Amino acid sequence: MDISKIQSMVEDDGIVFISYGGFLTQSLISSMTEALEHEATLNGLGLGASNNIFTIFIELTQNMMNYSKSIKESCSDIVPGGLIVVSKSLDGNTYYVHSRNIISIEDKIKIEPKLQEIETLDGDQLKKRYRELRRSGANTHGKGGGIGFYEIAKKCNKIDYEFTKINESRYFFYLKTTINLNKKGE
Amino acid sequence: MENLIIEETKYTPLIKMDTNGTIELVGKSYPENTFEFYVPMMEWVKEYFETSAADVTTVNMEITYFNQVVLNYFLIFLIYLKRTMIKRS
Repeated sequence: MDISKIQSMVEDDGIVFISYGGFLTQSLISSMTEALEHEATLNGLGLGASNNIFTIFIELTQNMMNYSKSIKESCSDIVPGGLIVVSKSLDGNTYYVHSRNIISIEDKIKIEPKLQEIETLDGDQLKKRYRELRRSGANTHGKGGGIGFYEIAKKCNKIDYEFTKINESRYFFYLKTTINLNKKGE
Repeated sequence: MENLIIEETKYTPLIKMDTNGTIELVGKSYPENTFEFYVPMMEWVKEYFETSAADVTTVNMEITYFNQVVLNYFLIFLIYLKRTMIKRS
């Protein structure tokens, strides 16, 4: 784990209210969503905003769970696991969902072009592209990382990502989404 | 043909399929294995319309959250219902 990165994300973003590192299971994910619901009620987030955060959180954590599984099956040299952090700015107007996990080079090859494409699209183009993919049935392999990233992009204001090489076949995949409550959340 | 009832969990909806013609899905849906979860429902619906459908079937879906994988299955389900409706009308 890159401790400096964790520290900096905490310092940059203000208040962290969910943070988990380790092996992800379905019941852990659903317990953490209860914490998200609690946060939404406590801060009076609208249905739109809380749904956006909820969607991003679940798509990301279920992705991580699936990538962890595929690594566990194919290779035992790296302990599968992930880091998920949900935080907000001090004024409470911006939420962030961060994830960081280890993926195989095969998964990187699948994910990276999608994220690169998403970066070039504006809101309307993104909606159009999402509908195309949905219709064509592509990316519907039933595991994570398919159409999910397009859905995430629709629900947030900004996606930042980074791949850091570990060795020939493994990468750290770091993803940060930014959700502004005023502009898009409500 | 028997009714199908699958109890609600934190991440899967209540599924209630009654041969009297009411089909109900209520809750959240982001299962760990979506395919396995929705197989019994799809099999029930197919058998129902092939063998023992009531004159009127009402489908009520109150899903407060579903993930992108589940959306695929809901679309398959709704397209199946639409095709069946056209066939029977």
